[in-house]
Amino acid sequence: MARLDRRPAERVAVAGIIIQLIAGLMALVVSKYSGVTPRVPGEMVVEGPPGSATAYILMWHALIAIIPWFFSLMHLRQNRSADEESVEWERLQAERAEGGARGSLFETDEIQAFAARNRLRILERYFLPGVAMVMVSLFAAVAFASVLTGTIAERHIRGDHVLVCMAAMVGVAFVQLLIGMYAAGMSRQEAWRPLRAGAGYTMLSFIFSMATFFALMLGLFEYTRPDRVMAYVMIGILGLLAIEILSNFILDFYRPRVEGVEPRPSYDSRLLSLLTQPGGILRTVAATLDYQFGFRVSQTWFYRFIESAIAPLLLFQIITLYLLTSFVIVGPEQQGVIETWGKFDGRVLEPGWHWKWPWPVERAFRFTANDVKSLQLGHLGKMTVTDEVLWTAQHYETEYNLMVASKESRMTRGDVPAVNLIVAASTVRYRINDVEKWFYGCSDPEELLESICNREMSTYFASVDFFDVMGPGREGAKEGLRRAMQTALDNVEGAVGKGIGVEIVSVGLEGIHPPVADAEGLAAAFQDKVVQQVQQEVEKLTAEKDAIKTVIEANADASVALIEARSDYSDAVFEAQAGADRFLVQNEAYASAERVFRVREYLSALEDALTDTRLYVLGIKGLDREHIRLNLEDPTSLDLSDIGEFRDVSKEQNP
Amino acid sequence: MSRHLFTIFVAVVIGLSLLLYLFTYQVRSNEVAIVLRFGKPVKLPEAGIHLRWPWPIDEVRRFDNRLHVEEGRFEETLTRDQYNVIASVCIGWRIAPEGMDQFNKNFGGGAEPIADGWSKLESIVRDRVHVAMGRHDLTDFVTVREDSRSYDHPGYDKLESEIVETTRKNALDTYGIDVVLLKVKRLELPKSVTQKVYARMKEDRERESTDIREKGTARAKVIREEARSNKNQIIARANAAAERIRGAGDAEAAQYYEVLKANPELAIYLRKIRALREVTRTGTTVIVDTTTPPFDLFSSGTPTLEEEK
Repeated sequence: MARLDRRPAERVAVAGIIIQLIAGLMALVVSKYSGVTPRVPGEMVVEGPPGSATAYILMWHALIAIIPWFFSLMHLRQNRSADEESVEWERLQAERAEGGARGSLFETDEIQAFAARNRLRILERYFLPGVAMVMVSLFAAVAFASVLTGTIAERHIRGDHVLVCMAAMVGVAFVQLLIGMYAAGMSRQEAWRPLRAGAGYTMLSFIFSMATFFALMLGLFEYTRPDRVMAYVMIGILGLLAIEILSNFILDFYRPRVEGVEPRPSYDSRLLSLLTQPGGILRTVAATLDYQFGFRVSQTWFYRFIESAIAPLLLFQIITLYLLTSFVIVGPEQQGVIETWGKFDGRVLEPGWHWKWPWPVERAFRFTANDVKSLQLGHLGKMTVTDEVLWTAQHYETEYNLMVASKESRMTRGDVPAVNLIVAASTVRYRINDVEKWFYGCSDPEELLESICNREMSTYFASVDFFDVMGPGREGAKEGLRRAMQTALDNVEGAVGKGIGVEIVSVGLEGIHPPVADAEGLAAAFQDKVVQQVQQEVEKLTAEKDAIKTVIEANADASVALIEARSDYSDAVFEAQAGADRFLVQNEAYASAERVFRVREYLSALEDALTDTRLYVLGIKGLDREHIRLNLEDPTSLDLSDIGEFRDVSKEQNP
Repeated sequence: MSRHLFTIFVAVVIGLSLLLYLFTYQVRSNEVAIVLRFGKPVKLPEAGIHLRWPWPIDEVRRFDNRLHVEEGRFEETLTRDQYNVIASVCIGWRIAPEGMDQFNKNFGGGAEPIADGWSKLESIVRDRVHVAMGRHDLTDFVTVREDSRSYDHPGYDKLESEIVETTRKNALDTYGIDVVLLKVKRLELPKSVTQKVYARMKEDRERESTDIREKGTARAKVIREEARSNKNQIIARANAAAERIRGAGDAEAAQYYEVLKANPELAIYLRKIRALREVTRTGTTVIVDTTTPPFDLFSSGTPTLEEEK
């Protein structure tokens, strides 16, 4: 049988390489120049890389698609070499057979004779699977890098070159379509089958180019979001291709090798063959299964049953899924609203299940509305104290200061205003009491609630005395604040009348204390005042204790003095009485013997007086006692030598 | 044939769905829409489903017509009495029904018209906040209210209404935006001023603590002094009473001294003898010569009784 010449296929493969290279470069240019100048001169340019996101992905796909074309070319060339080699071998065998005994001088080894076939086998067994893995890696890298670096999210189409870019994309797409369809048609021939892989990638590249064209067109009308959405879809398709190629690679190990069945490279995507071989998805699936399992699975009764029933089953499932949009289940903490053709008709759904018309006739929106929510004011972040909550430590990660008035507003000193600062952590508990106002009145009701509650807190503290709010005034303030917040919220003009559908349940004022952050020693100064008050009381009590002791001691001393005086009184009286009685007796004795009485008394006194004294009797005649000099520094130890010099003044008087 | 019928049916359903999508549009209850026919506004539809010509004949632009709440920048400004304060305001605004066309012209073509609208409104509000704050003193915002039962704050209310009045007309005429409410969300002092306020608060507390401490010390001193005075008085009274008692004793003892008048010389002599005993009792050194009795016995021997006679 005449073999088809593979050279036309090789030329098509070369064309495929060239067109993919051009497409890739063109996509690179479009991705840059589809967002160069601002929309309006003078307007700030949006930050981030400009240009089409779809063109960016197309660029990578087009360049990667060169690889299957290149190896298709290699495959075709090696097949051609193997064919030529087979022809040469047959001719040689024929010549040998004709030549009889004449033959070659050198017997050729079969392995050496079929070198090209061996190379082909090596190419199919080792290189082509390796190429598949390289392509998987490249597709995965493009997909992950584009998403993780945020390149797609930042891109915008704008500028004056969008139309030119659109024209370029159409041109490239057209050429790719031609090459792709031509190669796909050629690949139906067994000899030219390697073209099928490249054709599939070129057709996908055509679809990507058209998507880029549409994205640019929408971008021309300021709709830039579809470009990014389509880019993500393209990334998804590349990811899907990578998964399919990897699956083919793995499943190829388990595929039974059947004589006459041509091996299919792993990178030859069956998904892409849907684009190149129209004939139904199922036919493609059947062929795949037959190829994988090595026998005609598609002819079994089960497969035929599935083939006939798959469409009705899918349709039934789609209809069922659609009809499920008629059910709405509202949880116990939720409420819901129904919109009919977008318009709210007043129906509020309580917890339970409900009927409605399916989408898009009626739509249901659910949100948590039955619980009591809480809002923290005056601070951000978690509580930073766990054991003792003291004024000297910050209670939360971030605390805000509030200005507080003071009854004792002192005159300002220079640039210091007459205000005090305080930290007040508060919890506002609220619940939704009107779902329509909550959902349709304000776009961000929680933000509005927080702003108004903060405002009421600020105004309250700005108009109350500093020490009142930290002490007795705190309890009464809670209810007042609640009423003030409720009134303010009820007076808000929303889109559905006054109010935003919120009821303030309670307001708690926890954690009121002087600022701590950047206010070193301030809280300690407040605490010190209490310490001093206690210390003052202690001093007073101590002084009173000392006073009592002093008075008691004084009374005791007074009593002692009186007692001593009475004792002296008694002593004086009794002594005088005794002395008088003795004197009477002595007088009688004196009267009876005057001289004897005198000498006796004198000598008796001398005996008593000189008993423990130091006595010096001087046996000097004529001593004038007037000139005795005594050293009386230590009278108890007076010695004779201390007396001093004695002079006989009688000789002086009578020389 | 049934297979074709099925395919035709599916195709018809898909086709009708596409037609419905192309020729109708919905406006939700939280939206306001404007229909542009070849760029010219032709209709302001209510909420619900409406017919239209497909794009590019009719273009439907939808905007969120609920109250939008935004917080202005937390920005420093100056009050009339020259105090720097940092204020942030909360603004509630919506697209005015009569300003729909104006809003669409300014922001309708953008990707995020609400954000763009806020961006323009914010610049107007910022300017008005600075101007309004400059017309008020700090004490207008921070002062003890006279009626403790009322939670109104005229200072804040006046400032907020001033800003709204000066902002509303400009925003409505220029951008079709209705400023519904404005609240001063936060009012704080800059960090440099805050530090000075902290220092003043600390000084005030320390002054009070010192006052309390000194008063306590003074009070204790007074108590102790009073006690000392009482003690002195008690002892003085007791000493006086003791002297009176001693005096009474001396007076009573004096009456016994009348006996001594019988022989005053003897009384004096006995008193001298007694004094001699007392003063020479201990530690005394006595020096006498041999003329002093009884030591005169040392000078000339023992006198006889006849000499003595």
